[in-house]
Amino acid sequence: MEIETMNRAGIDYQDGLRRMSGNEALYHKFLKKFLQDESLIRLKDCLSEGDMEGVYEAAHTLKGTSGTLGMYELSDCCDEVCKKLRNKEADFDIDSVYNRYDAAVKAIEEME
Amino acid sequence: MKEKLLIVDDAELNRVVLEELLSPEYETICACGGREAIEIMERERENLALVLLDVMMPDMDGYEVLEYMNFNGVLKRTPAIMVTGADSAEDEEKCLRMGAMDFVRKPYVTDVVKRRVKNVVELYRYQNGLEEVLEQKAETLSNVNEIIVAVLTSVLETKTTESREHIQRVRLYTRELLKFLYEHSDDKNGLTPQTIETICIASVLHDIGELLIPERILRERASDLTDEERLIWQQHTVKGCQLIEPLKNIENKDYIRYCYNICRSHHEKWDGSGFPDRLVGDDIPICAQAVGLAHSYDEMIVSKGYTHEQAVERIHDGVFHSFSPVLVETFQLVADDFRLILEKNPESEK
Repeated sequence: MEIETMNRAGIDYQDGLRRMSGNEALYHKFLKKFLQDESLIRLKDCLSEGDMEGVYEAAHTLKGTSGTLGMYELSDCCDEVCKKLRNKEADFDIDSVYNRYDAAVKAIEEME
Repeated sequence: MKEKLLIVDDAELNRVVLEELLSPEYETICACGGREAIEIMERERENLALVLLDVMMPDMDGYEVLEYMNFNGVLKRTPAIMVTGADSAEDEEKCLRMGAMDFVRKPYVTDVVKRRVKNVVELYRYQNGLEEVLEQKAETLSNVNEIIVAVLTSVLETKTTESREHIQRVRLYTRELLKFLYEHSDDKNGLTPQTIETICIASVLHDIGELLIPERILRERASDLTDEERLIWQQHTVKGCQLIEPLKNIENKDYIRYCYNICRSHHEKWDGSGFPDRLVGDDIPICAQAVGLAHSYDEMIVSKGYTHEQAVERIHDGVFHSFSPVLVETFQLVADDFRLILEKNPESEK
């Protein structure tokens, strides 16, 4: 696994590792765990149902978990969405959330 | 034994991370929302060493949980550390204002979480332990008090006309009066179960000043005293204070204050006709009022030969204008207890 690849996927590997007290096995375990996280699915469901409160909650959760794991690009995108929703603005960029999410998931899946 | 922590977060991944992080040193329980957290707190009560509480949760947020903890007194023993968003200085201020001990920002650095949890758990372990130590100390103190009281009673009995039983009875009457007053009157007069106990122990010394009065005068019947002798006898209130004065530096200030007030003012009367300061009404400390009534009841029966009923009647009719209406009313209601105390602690034959 290359740190470069992770970084390109929006995962600040070194900082994420620092957050886990430098414990690489632990970090990997939680990154893998992230693949089972259902926040994004919930976000999509809520969006299709027009449940904006649900979208906000899911985005907020995703922001938190991705941040914990050093996925700052994803967490920043989620934060943007949350801010827009809080201000009842409709022009939030949900696609960038999807894109960052997919990139991060792909990198984690390819990780040894 | 590991201490128990409660982790409250709606995001599973966060719970897992925190659990993993803290489980080497603590036993962890997780709740996925505010309601579940409260259920667990109600079940675990004092077993929880700390609650790690996410602020932003859908069903019931961290503030509401914190409010519950505050309202139910949980926070006194179990501290909360809040997990807040990175960009929310407002949240942090609010957390602390609402009684949280500390907060960690998301995304968190695991070492920081560990350290803060450890600090707060230790602080509370120390504080809760301290409370237990204090409780034990209070118990020891009351044992020491018992011994000192016994010694003083013995001294008083030998050197004055006070009997051991009289001292014991006055102490018990005083407790009945004050307890009833505390439990049933709106104005608690600053009484608490703790202060009542202290007053009762202090009541033992009410006539300690008699140690400094010539025995000849003490042995004389009150009605046979000359005016001059009566004035000398009345000095026992002030002289008692002189004996207590040097004790002012001891730790238990309340105790000394009660001793002083009881010694000095237990012969004051509600209408201002008492001695030594001619205090009127509620200027007479409540502890001295209670001891005064207790003393008076006992004296009427034991020294002057009245029956219980006569004594109750005389106090009720305010023959001496000695006592506050509230206290007299209270006395009426506990008079049967007074009689029982007297029956159980009769004067011994000498």
